[in-house]
Amino acid sequence: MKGTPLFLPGDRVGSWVGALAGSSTVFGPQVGSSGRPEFALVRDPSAVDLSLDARRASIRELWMPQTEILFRYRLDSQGATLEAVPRPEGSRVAFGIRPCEAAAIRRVTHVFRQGKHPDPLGLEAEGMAIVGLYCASPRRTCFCAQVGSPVDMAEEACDVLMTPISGGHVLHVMTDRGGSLAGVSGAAQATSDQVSAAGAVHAGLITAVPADGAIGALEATALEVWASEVFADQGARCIGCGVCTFLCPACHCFDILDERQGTGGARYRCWDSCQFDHFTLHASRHNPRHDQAARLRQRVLHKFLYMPQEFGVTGCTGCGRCAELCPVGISIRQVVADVRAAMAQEQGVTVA
Amino acid sequence: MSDPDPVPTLRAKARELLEQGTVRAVVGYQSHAESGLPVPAVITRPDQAEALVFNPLCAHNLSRYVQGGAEKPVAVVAKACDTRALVVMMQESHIRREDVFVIAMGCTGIVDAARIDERARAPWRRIEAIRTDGDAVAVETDAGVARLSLTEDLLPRCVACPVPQPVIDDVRLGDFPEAPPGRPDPLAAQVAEIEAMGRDERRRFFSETYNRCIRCYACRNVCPLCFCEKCFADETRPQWVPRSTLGGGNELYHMVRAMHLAGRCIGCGACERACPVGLPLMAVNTKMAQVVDGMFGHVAGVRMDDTPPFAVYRDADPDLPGHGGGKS
Repeated sequence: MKGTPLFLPGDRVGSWVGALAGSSTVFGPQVGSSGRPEFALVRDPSAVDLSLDARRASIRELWMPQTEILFRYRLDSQGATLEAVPRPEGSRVAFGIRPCEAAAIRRVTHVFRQGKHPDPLGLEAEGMAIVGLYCASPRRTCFCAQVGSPVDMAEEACDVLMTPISGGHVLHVMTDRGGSLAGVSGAAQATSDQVSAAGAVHAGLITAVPADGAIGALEATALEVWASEVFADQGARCIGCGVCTFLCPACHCFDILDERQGTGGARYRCWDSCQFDHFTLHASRHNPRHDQAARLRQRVLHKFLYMPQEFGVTGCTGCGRCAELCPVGISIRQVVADVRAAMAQEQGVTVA
Repeated sequence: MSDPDPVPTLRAKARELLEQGTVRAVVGYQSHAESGLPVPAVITRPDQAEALVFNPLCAHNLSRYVQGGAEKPVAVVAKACDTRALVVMMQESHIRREDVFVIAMGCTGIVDAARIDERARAPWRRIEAIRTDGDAVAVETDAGVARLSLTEDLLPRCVACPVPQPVIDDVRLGDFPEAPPGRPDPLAAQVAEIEAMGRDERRRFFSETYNRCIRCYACRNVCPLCFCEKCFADETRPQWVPRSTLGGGNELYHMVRAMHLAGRCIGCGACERACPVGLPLMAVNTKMAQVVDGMFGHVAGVRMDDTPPFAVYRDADPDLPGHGGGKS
């Protein structure tokens, strides 16, 4: 693990969050109004609780709100008057998100950076500082260690990584920005015992995620996997809702719509999902992704084929939310594993 | 006739139906390859029948999979409650009786899978076996056995199971309770709790509830009776419901959906179980069913020869007190 390790006693987390909140907008794990853990804007630093398991909450809100007004307009006899909506200003800190989530947030910036005209709305993810929190144990559907390594993801994406050990957290500072963040924590240099305790936690998570199901980018062309029966099999039970995509920390598709009331209104951006049946519906009523199998294939190939081809990284970091929350138990890890197994078998048959 | 383990019979029946070409597909449950939890499966080949399972964790209402576009004829594995959804679909001419082969499974209630997390000794990843012995369900996981009870750990809608016998069936497998268990209904209790709130408190409850909605439409898409080819919520010309989540769009979506299910919702609770943010969606559905029962004496899907209240006009149809409509 890179970076100089520091140690922050457990009872100092609140004051650190308070210090960060003094100069930045901070988001952290808290108990929401429903009584469930969620990532939300920190109003009261003492409400941030790193022992909460907020790994089910969507973190997309942190960098891409579900609904975001782009501008307002008024219509009169002279035409339309546009009114800008101010963008959030100042630095923002995501506090206590997991390495998989952090990596997902960073990876989507590739998409918004490509081409001649980078999209500033998508690049807000890049500007957000991340204080990551390493997991002591995986959730049931977690598979970070099967699509890579949570340690690598932390190094890839976090400005500071907190690793829970007895009595507090070891802080690994990864970036200059992280140095400034950790600088107000009051953390002292970690002892070698503390550093090795953190190392044990790092290795422990990787061991706790079964290694036998390792998957990665699909090494194939789209044509080679296009007709795989796996998509049809799994697509047969897909109900076409947006749970997987809306909870995914790396999904980023949106729609742009106008909402008008009387003579005025707003143009806004809101989340959209490739799993919805109208996502690719053409005005002619033709729909190139005409069934749920085709839509499932799109989700899987986008993350495990197109993103690796375009940017050299998978669009999935194994957070497992989609599999945990899918109402009908579709697991992207399983789909990819099945596609890979089918490919291997096919190649085997060809060779023989 | 007692059949302690109906699963072998179920598999044989599914195989036979596919082999003989009676149906083109069988919708049933199979164990998830990773978690071992039962999940819906649509099988089309006889050899796939061996993977079918049935146990007290089979929560899904599989009648969802015989909606409109599905290949027909189709066989569906249905608990007694699930058959009510098929009945409504048939009463509304959405599907034809002869297109659906109903494999009715005896059921004394479905346990809440979330309880496994609480009862297993450690975080579990995989269920190895599910054994039922009387009231006890032993869920054997890789992290030890989670012991659940068919009285204490039931899904809310199963506690007072109003319809333990299938309304329609082509074959019955397993044991069916003769009568409802006679326990108080937690869903009715939830409705009473909300009704006991003051006006402002209730307003706050609903806005806080629907504020958390992320508009993933899992509730709609998992619903066996949300079978419109084009949902009002997806219309953009005109746009009936704002897609934005900032204003009242969420609430409007849920309220209109509840209205569209009035007198139709069979209370399976699939919407609430599918919701990724845990919205208590069944409260409004339960209330709506109470209103329809009170006003029209209609309970959705419990008798094949019923006429749904939306489909008839009677001069004597009652109005809600204080909402006189055109009559006086």
